Amino acid sequence: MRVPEKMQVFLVAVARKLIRTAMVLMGVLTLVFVVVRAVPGDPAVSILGEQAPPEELARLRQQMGLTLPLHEQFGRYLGDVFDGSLGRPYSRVHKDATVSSLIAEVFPFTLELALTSVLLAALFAIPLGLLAAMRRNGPLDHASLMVTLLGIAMPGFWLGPLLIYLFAVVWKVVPDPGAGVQGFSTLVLPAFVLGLALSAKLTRMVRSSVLDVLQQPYVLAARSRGLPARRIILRHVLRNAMIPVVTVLGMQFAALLSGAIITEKVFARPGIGTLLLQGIASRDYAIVQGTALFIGLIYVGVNLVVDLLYMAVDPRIAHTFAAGRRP
Amino acid sequence: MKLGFRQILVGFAACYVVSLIIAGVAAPLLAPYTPEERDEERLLAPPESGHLLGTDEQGRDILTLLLYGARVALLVGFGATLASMLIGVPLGLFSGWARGWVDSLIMGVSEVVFAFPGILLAILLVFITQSPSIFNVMLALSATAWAGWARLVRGQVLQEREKDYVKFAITSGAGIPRILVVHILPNIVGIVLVQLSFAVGAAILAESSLSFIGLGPQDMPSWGSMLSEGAALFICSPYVATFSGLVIFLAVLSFNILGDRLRDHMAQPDPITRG
Repeated sequence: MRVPEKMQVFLVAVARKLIRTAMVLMGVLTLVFVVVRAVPGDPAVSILGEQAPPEELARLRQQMGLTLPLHEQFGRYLGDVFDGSLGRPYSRVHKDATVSSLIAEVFPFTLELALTSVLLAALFAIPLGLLAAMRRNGPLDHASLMVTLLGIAMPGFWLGPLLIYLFAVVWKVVPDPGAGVQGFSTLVLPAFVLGLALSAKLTRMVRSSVLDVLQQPYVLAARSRGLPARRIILRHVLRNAMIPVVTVLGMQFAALLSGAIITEKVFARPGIGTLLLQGIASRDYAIVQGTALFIGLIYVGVNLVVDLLYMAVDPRIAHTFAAGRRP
Repeated sequence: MKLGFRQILVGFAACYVVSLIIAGVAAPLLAPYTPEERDEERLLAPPESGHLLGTDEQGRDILTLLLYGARVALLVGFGATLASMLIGVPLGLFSGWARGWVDSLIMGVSEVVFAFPGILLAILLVFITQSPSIFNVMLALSATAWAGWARLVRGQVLQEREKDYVKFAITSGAGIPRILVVHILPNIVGIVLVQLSFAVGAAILAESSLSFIGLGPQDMPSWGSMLSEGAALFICSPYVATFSGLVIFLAVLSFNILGDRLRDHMAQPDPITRG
């Protein structure tokens, strides 16, 4: 059976992308392994303290696999990754838990936060970027420039406490974040803070992408056919301008998870960032390793999906990948 | 010439950066107190005659801490950025020139770094050292940021190498280091400068974020750690958090405005490709 040439190109591109992803994945796994083992001193001592009885220390070292040679430790670590447990936390608080069960417990909070941020950012950035590009150098365009500069420079850990003070203490329109997570009203402020930088970047992306598309010959063609302006903007301009924007959104998703480390601390929310900081504070290497790895894996996974979708949508990209060049 | 809104912005940003540099260099001369000095009678005082911006919960003068904090911000901002350029720019030049498996390897490693976005990798690296000194924080931030430089420069080299002046240099027998450093580098220096301004702003923000979660430099007063302490006490005394947050925000904003202006300036000869 002859595979059509188009299909061939696509398959080669997918295969290349998969191999590359597997290599990056191996790099991510190795980096986290090395980082956690590069911590100077004896992890058992830093968990149990200097005064711990030697037999306790020896038991913990045994449990952590520190007595094994490095390559066996790496094997054990890979085993923990592939069986999905990501290892076991060392602190006695989490007696029967695996790291992944701890992550599964808190990740929904981070996920709802990140998704709401993306949604808010997109709702804000797409109209603003589009209007700014359509009226280039107009007042709205200048305003959008200001907004993006402010959004990128605004530290979330400053804006957060200010907003909490205004909305929860002075105006009392949302519950105090100290009172725990309760539905949508406690989600809005953190999602806004987390999504601010993203909406700034996104506005810029949409603006420049729309400006780019507006100069394409097919837009001129649509205009000269006398299509109504609204139809041109919606069907021709926005659709094509969104392709690079969606890629950026995909890539930014993992960045949001990492940004959640700060936002969750500001709003005292449970989540993957809070878990990571707890792991760092209690020197629980298994938790630090597991959460960092989890974010890294999500980045690699989302990237793979976005690239594959991209290839399916735009054959030119499949060609680039198939030729071994990288866009 | 009529001064537009943007000129005023750029002027403001330039003034702010210059005064930061002056504050950082001359902090001991400008500060009314020393960063260790405690006014036991005035804890969390509001702005008043003895303490222009008030005091923190240990009775230290906020203005003094902010002036000394400028040192940390600038040291880390410029230090981490320059260090990451020193790693990333040569790797990018090399990667874009060599192509093939060398390029694949360098870009693959940078992709691994990208998989730990934002300050995640820096958090891990500071965690390794177990002692967040200013040097370790700089090291952690540059170990994260080099990948962006490598990628940016590689992309530029891939474009430049197709141009006639490079082909001419090859035909006249110039060696690879000479082509990269003498011919290509000066042609991409504009983009590098623009990125430099944004990167310093980003590094200052990253340092403050690390300080905020308790992983910033512990050996010097930093804006982020002030903000972290101040945020917890925001309701009883908003001054610590407000002022420290404001100086961070203005610093990052100023470097971004300057970068933006620089980008417009560099792109002027070619308005069509301007985004």
